[in-house]
Amino acid sequence: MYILYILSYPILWISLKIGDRIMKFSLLAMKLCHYTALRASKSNHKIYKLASYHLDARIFRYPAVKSMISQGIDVPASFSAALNLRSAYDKDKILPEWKICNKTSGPEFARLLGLQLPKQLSINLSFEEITPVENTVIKPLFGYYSRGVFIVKSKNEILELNTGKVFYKWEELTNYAHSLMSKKVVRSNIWKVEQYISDENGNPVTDIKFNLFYGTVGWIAEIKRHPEVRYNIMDGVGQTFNSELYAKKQLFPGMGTNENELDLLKKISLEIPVPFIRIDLMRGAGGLFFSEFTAYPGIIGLFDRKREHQYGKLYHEAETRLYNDLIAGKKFETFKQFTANA
Amino acid sequence: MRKSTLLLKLLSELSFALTWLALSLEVLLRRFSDKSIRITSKLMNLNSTQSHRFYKFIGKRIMPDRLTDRIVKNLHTNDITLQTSLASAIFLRNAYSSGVILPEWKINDKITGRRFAEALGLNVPAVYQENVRFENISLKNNIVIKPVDAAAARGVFIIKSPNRIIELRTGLSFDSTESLREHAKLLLEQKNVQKDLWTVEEFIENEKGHVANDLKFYTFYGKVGWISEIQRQPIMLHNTIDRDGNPVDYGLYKNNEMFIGEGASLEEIEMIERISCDIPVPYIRIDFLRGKKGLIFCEFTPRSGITGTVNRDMDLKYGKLFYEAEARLYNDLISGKSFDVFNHITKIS
Repeated sequence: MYILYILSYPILWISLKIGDRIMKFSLLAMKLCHYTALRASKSNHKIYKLASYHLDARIFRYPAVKSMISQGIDVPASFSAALNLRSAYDKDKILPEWKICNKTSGPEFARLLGLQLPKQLSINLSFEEITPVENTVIKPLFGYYSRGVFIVKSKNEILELNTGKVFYKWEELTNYAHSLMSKKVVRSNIWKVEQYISDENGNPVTDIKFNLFYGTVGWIAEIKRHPEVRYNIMDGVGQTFNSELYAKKQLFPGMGTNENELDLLKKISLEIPVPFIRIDLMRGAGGLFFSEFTAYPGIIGLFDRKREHQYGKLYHEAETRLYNDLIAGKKFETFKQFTANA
Repeated sequence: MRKSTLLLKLLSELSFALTWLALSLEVLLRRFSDKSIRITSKLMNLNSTQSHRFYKFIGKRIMPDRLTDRIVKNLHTNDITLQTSLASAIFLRNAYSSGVILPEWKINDKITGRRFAEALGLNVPAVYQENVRFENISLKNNIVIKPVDAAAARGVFIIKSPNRIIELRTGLSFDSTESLREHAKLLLEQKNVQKDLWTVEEFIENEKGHVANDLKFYTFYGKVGWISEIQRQPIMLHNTIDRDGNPVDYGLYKNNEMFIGEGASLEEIEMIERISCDIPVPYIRIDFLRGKKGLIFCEFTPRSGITGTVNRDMDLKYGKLFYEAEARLYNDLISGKSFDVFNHITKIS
């Protein structure tokens, strides 16, 4: 491994250095192009369009930005940069999302917002304290990517949601859970047990994750976990599109969403004073159930430039709307009530 | 060369192709380096002895739009800050304001701005006339005439007496009110000044009888980032300092364009920081004149002309202040801070 590292580091170093050089070169080429285009014709539309697609906003001077706006070209935004910077410069974690993005307070806030929740049977247990009960789910309080989530169908049939692994003995599962904890996939030995939400056939439900920008739906991910993990990615109005993030064979048609659900989630997102939040829900036999709030999804930094920009734009627009509402004195009563209780 | 359209067209097409090529090459390289970052970062998780060096390198070289959640977390645990840019923060804030008037623009208007400054307890110059057409200005000694929508001191005239009139930006002098009127007409015709609406104010001078120095405070909701001092007479000179009075290098001015000015006292800086907490924005520039009797408020500038032109180090340093200010402001707003003075003044305007 060490040898691999020794190798990969200089490669990275060289490629970044070359990147810098090319960047300098292309900026120079662009300056020349801009200069000549200004004089050759009245329109320098083409060069701005190319530049806005490839470059960061920080590269430009104000007159260029002004020309872009006047020509209807978007100033290059980035969703990942916006979220990364928001979290990075909030060292004391004072922003509101931190108050709702954990597995204990999240459900409480969701309940206040009127969302349906699976019944919670017990919380803050160490794994040794859990006794397996039929039709329950065991979840770690500090885990991610659904690792360490176990569905107890019966004492002798327990399923790990993320991997599809089946355990036929409780001891087997205990050993496995401890191995997850020692590998830090699950960060501490604190667990909760809740009611198992299943679909009409008793199978694990599909997840539906709404990525919300303060009153606007950005995109939606529907995820089926059983028998294999499959995705259905939809835009803000529920239309499926081909996401660059998944291969064709990872996709499935899905059940989609509908107008009522979209309206409900838009309304809910206006009660949360943040520019972006993902609300994860489960589509059970009895409708949508709340699962969790996610402020900084793991997908950050993996989008292509087009989506980066598209969602970045939504982010900045949401930020301004939120800001305006706050200054105008919007109260966010539900959120306030929740933080007063917490 | 400028006359030969064909040659220019050719050159322009050629350089466009070149730019396209360079940018496409960069995209390819970016894909490669993204992959190599991911692989290296995975290896890092197995071998943590080298990881600090790696993340330091990544934090310095990669802009946050290319960082994944996992890398950001690792940067955080290694106590390495993310690359920021004040210019991009300001551009994006303004580009995507989705039909909302941002608070900083509500006080950018000269009249509202002055009302707000007065309400905050700042000294403002006496105003003799407001929103008047040039022909209706009653000229007298020691006044300043400014267009209502002035930018970068364009169309600002100082009248010391009817035969001693100066245009601030160009240094042009006029020896009669007639020549002044003609020049103002020309500015309007050439669209250097957009509207024929002017403000007439008291002339603020320094001890030497010159136009008082400008002092521009770049503030970040409770923190002064840097201060720019400009001497306009006898010649234009710049002095840029940080909060502690140390010189700052923008990369904008040559040595012979700079001077060692008076700067600002700590009391003045603290007063401005207090005031900036009454403005619900992460960043704004507050401009003053250093008159005989101290600081006289001039205007609020939401997006200064130097945005995007300062060097990378400054852009990065003050980008950080922007994001920290934004987090503090959000927190205050959500905790119910009400910005009464701001709301009151902007509502009645």
